[in-house]
Amino acid sequence: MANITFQGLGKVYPGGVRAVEGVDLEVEDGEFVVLVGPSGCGKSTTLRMVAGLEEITDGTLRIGDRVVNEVAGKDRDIAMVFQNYALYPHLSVRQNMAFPLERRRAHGGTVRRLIAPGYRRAAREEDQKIQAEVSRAAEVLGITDLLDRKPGALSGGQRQRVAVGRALVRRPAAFLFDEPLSNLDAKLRVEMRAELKALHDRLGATMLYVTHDQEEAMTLGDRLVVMDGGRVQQCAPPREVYEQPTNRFVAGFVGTPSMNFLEGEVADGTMTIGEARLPLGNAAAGSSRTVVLGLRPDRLRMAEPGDPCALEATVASVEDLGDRCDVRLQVGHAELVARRPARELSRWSVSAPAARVAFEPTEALLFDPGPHGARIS
Amino acid sequence: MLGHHVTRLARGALAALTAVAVLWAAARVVTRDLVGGHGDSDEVVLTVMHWSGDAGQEEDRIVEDALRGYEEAHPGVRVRRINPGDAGSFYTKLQTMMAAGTPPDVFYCGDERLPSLASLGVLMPLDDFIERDRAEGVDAGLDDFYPVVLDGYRWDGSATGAGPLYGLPKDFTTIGFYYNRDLFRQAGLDEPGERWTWDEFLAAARAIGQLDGCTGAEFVTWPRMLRLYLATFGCDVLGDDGETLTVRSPEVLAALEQLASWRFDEDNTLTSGKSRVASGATVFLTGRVGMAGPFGRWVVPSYRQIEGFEWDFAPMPSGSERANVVASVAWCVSSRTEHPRAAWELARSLCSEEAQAGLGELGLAMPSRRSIAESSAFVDPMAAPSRDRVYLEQVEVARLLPVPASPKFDALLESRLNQAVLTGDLSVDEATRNFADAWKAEGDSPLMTGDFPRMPWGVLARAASIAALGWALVLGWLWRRGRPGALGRSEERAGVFLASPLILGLLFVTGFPILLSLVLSFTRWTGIAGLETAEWVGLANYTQLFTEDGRFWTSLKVTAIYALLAVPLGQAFALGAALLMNTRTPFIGLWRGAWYLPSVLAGVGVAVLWRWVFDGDSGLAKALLDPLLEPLGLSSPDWFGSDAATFGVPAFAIMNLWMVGGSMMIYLAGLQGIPKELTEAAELDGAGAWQRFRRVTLPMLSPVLVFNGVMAVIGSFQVFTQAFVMTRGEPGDLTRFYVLYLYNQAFDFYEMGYASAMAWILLVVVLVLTGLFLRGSRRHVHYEGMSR
Amino acid sequence: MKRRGSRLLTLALLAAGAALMLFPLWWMLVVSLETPSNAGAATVEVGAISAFPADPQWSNWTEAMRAVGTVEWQGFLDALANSILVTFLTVTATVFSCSLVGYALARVRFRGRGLLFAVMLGTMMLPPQVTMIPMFLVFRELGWVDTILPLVVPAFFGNAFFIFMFRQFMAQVPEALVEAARLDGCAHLGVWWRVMLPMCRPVIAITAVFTFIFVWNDFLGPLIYLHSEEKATLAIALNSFRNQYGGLEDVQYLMALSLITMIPCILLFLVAQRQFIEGLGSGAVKG
Repeated sequence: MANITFQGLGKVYPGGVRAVEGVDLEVEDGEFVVLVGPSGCGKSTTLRMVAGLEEITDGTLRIGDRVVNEVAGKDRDIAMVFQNYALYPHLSVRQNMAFPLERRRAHGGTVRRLIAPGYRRAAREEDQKIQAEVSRAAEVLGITDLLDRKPGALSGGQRQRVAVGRALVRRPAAFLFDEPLSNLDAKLRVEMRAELKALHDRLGATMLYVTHDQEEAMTLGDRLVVMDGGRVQQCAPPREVYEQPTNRFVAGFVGTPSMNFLEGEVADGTMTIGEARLPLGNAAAGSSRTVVLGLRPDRLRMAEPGDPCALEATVASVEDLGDRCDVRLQVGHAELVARRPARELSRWSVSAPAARVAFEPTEALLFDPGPHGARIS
Repeated sequence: MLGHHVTRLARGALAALTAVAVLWAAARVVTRDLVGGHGDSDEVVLTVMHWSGDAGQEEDRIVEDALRGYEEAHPGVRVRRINPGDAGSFYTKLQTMMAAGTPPDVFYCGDERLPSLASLGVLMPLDDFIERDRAEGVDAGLDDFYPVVLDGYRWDGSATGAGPLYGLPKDFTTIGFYYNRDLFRQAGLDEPGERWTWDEFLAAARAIGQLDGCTGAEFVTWPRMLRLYLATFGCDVLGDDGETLTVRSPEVLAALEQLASWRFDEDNTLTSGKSRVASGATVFLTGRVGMAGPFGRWVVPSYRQIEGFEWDFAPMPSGSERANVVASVAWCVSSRTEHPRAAWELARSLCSEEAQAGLGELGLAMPSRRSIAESSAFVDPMAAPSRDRVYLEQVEVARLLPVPASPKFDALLESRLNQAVLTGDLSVDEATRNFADAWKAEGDSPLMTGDFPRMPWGVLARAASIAALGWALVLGWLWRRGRPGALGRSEERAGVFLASPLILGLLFVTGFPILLSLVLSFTRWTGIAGLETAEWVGLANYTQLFTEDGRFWTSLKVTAIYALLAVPLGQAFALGAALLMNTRTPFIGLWRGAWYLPSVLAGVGVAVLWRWVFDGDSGLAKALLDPLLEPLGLSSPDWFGSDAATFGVPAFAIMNLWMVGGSMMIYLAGLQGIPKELTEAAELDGAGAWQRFRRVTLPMLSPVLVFNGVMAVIGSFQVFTQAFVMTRGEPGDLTRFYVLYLYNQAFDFYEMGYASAMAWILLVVVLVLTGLFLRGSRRHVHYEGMSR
Repeated sequence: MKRRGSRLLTLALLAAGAALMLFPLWWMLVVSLETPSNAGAATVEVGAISAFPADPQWSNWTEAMRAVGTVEWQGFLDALANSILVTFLTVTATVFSCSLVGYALARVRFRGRGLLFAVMLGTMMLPPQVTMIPMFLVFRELGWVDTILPLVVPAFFGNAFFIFMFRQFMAQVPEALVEAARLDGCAHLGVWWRVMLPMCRPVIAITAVFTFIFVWNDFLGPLIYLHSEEKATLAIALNSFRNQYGGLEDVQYLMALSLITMIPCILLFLVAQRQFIEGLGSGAVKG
């Protein structure tokens, strides 16, 4: 097990395209770090740089204490689980899992095995060791009875397990996961998520995980690295990312449904959004400027008389989700979503669209204008 | 399940069989090479090369025995024997061996080739050896040889008959007609006398032609035979000086027209001469031809197997005079042999009395030694023909025909005049004029008349090395400029290493030979003598090709027409077949196998088959088409005979259809790659079968069409073997494909430089065509539909 | 009903076509079993051929093999051994070199790769006549004349057609698979041997079959380079049944020997049929 250190890591493609820029990160030994962000944000490229599949153009990468910029992937002591599993179709599960170990053995030569008895003995010992590793990993993943099948005869979930198993036998310093669950159906994804988490807890291994699904990120990571446009937007544990996003992008990326944003003017503690005047207190202190108000959907409720922060809204649609409902509201030009418990279902109706919604000023976040506007604290 | 096991068992068995076969083969070859004996270095090793002729295995054995006997009698000398099979392959191989400077020491040479080989300087004059022998008291027995036969191997630089002796004839034959005694009796005719005339010949031919299902005579029109025919009228195509063309003289024209009228104006007097299969000696075997010739003795071994009727031999009929020629083959010694003395002795022994006796008994030809010829070794009253003496008597009136040194003469003569007297698609007047013009153009060409300097190979080599070095430096400098990082570098090293076979191959196996070939295209070189004799002619080859050489343009036309026919036809056929195969029909594996099989077959046997199919007289095509065409008042075409101008090339295109199995497989695979949903959606949208094909299948198949199309076009420009075996380009040049003409120039006319220029032009044409094809296809090809 | 009718038509067409295609084999078989005079006549006239010889000379086949060359049977066995060895070596060399280069062109990044590929494609259009004599001169300088080396060694340098096929096929293997193998510890050679080749079985089949057929039947190459009688291949031996005027002596032996020579090709095709078709479909033909 080892830590991974990114120092100013960057990737420029020939032709000038900057895929990744200025990534500084310290992944602790045994930590589960998730790189998350929308498509094209550079998370996969970053992971592939760690794997040695992309050449590092700027910065330094260390695994353990070793600078590995110029080291070939197979010598970096890392193992990778691919999005499409990348199992060798002509080999059985057992052979797939044994493959990396076979490549590293000291006594594998077929010819020498036949000739030299000493060699043969050592080779046989190695054979047994390899098989033991494979069985161990298979058991951990619950695929022992699949060992003699070929990948073509397995389901998606089973294949994913085999892919993990192939990484497992290596006992690498770090595991790399490249969107391993995105090819599975929703239900399976949730199951596998839990299993991966359990695996991490059990092994205590350093894991670097890439996904575009923020829910997955939130549930799996010890720390999240939110990326956009090739740059790290925030690097923090999930709770912190959720409650104290560094900028508007992170705030809007994490959480489902995503945060509501309203633009308005703020001056001396009061925010003006359209006709409404909202006393926000300290957060809004200072001279007049444009800000963006951020509000989580579950913090938006039907206004009671006397609520200081209230807005006039029109109900656009109501979605019944079983234990809760999402109400889509039109406030001026903006579209907001309010997530309410199911019992409020009757209170919101498209046929009686006029409504007043309110929120607690302490629960609102303020951001500078712009997609990456910093949070104002 | 059982089928699965059976296949696996079969596969395993086959794999085991293959392994055993390979091991056996390797063991056999290795032990043979080791054991084969590399005798001691004091040993003299002589190489002897010959062909098997009509006697096939027997002649082969006789030569082998003679050589082994020689080895026993001369310890210290080992003889290696090479037999490439037939005369055509023999001369090809001889040329390549000479070109490489490793010719055989002693080899056959036909008398028709003597002038060209002698003038190339590859034959050793033998007179000095004979002199030395005489001084030592050994008699080569030259006096015993028939003078007219021996003189055929004297060449003084411009004519045969006088000058140094270049070969010892091993045997010879005079010429005449074989006749079917039974048919003569049936027609109530007297058998031919020894001084019979053409009038008698004609009368007999007509009479026999009247018999049911019979034809009067088979009359071959090879150059030598035609000239012999003319000689019986006291004329020839070439004057006595061997240079003036007399082919347009009134006597020659009259004689040729007479022959043509015998063939084309009368029924059943002469065979039509159309079919290549049933021509030559074989047609006589059917027993329905009264006479066959003009032939020599070489047909006797095969005629001796005739059981159905009696036959005999009659000399050449006389016109205004009696005339005959000899056809012979001699043993010659290479001018570059390392053991002249030993080679001479070997050649001499191969023409010894014993050797000649053996050959004589074969009956294949007449021993060139008078003493043997007139002994019972040859003259054998028991076996037919009974008139062995007749051959010998003809020697008295045999003469030497003047032969120009250039091998193009005979080739042109044959291909041009045959159009008048064999296939009948031109008149005698036109054909002779064609020939005269062509030969004159040949003589007048700057290549023939110009005086050219030798190739400065040394300078070239030095310049080339400097250029190569320069290129290497430039490439190396470019390489260093764009170096990637360390990981990229190791990747690059791996890539270059893995691709090294290709890189090395492109440089040495492809690039260097191509460049050398380009250089050769600016030279004049026989290919037989060493490279030092090559002459620099600049662009003369190319100018000659483009401005003077009508046959070049003809061959391009023939090839282009073929391409225009065969490619669309073949591809449509293949696609149609693939569409049929793409259905769920029972035994589909069987059909696929059957359709693909022809393309894995090759070889001589297949060529014979096709000659038979397209035979003008009795081929399968005629048998199949006549019932269909006769009611319409038509008859099936004479594919390679009188209708060759319209049907010759299409015949090849039809043959090509049979070989489309490969293309068909590719189309089939392409069809199977089209997602079924596309055609299903089209069907639901209301598209009929044809529309589905045109609007869905065809566009989806377009990449395959391009690929197959390009391959087919490239292939059509390289047609050679079929044309070579079936028609040799004839009649005239009507089926002379480009590569065939290239081959003629290189191996029949000894014009390697010229041929190299043709090869380069071919390369450019193919590149341009492919480029156009690809460019044109880019607009119409869709690549998305196929699973990438 | 219409479906049934069209299916019957398809079947009829296929069967007719198959008969047409196989007809020459039958013809050769019949001629090979005829007596000498019947055989000669069969090549001359349509009417002379019968569906099956009345008096089949099965001994023709053994006679044909015996009659090859000077020493009975040895000629044939020598030719057979030579053919097998040359073909086996060439096929192996071709498969190895073409798959290696195809892999490099498909999956390994190096500068000049595109140029190399384009130049290689260009050579596909090269008529072999252009290089024939220069190649012979080169081999002669090396002293390789009258050995099998000139026939086998060029195969080690790859063949544009097959390299193209391998490249197309290998380009379709998912990149992740190659990356996984690299990370698992394979150098490029390892990826080629352990991952690519096992997945390329169809293309290997095509390469092997096409090469086999070409080399097995190749006539011009052995004619030029192999001089001694004991080094001749079967294709040359077939030719020794011909005579100098292209006539047809012993044509029944010629047919018998031709058929014998064709047997391995036929067998090979039957065995590799499925792989063959699969391969032609997947990789060969795109782009």
